[in-house]
Amino acid sequence: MTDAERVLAVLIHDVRTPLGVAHGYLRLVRADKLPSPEDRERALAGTQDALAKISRLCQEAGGFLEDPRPGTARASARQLSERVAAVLAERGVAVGALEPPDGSINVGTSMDRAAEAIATLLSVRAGRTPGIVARIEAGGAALRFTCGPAGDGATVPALDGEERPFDPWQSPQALGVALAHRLVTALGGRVWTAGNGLALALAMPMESGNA
Amino acid sequence: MTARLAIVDDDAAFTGYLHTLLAAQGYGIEVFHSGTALLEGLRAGSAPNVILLDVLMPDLDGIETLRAIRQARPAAQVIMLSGRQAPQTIVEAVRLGAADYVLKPGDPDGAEEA
Repeated sequence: MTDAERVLAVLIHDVRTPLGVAHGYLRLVRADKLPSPEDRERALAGTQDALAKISRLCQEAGGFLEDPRPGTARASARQLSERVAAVLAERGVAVGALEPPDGSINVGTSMDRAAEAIATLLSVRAGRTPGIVARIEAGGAALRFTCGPAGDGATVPALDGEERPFDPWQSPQALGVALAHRLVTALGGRVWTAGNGLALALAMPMESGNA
Repeated sequence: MTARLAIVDDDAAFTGYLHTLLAAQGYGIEVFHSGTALLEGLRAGSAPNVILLDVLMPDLDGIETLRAIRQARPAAQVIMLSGRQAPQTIVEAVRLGAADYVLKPGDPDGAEEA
């Protein structure tokens, strides 16, 4: 299956649920099955959220049709790490360690875009599961991001398990995750899972000296 | 007595909709956003009559969660929810004692029928 065929298949699948939610809410309102103003307000807000999700999915699908060449701008490992940590915090993912080394990273056309993509991949592992922690630190000649069950607070023990390549298409939000994965790998990054999928790791190649 | 339902799905928009739909019909509703959270809820004393369980979730997926429910609460009725029809998953869910398997709404009637 080509990327374009996969995008279409995932789009068809992922649009169904928010479309059904919007349809369902509107049907409840029109049939006057929600007597309280609070319920009706919740239904309208839910409809709006569902339509926003459909819009985002269509934008992500369109992203696959754009030129995938990511650009060559660089940012310091510290700047990128702090931006990723901020996005993770917005998404409710705890950052257990923020210890970036000195160095510069290829962030393509935009540091914010690269940080968003990295945080999207790490968030896949975190989901809404409690006890998951992200770490940002040196990993050889790379800036390494990890996400998995917290061990003693200083480690992600599952990373010691067997490494497997990460397949973005098996994720619950496959379209956005696949788009993030494509950007990160185009920037030279590597993404893998370990510990039977319990932990996710991502390494961005780094050059010495700050950008 | 009002039936108590547990909704288990990582998609907050979908759980919000199901909550509104089913609460409007008079059911008592609890929402859990992961299989792990449901199992912790069951251990803490939550006792739903019916569990609506999503198949595709991060962390513990629906089938793994169903296995754990069968041990923790054998009498609970479980209805699997899925965005796609996957014959192997349906067979596995039924083999593990799921009462039904409902496709997530492209058509909202599916959720109401469940």
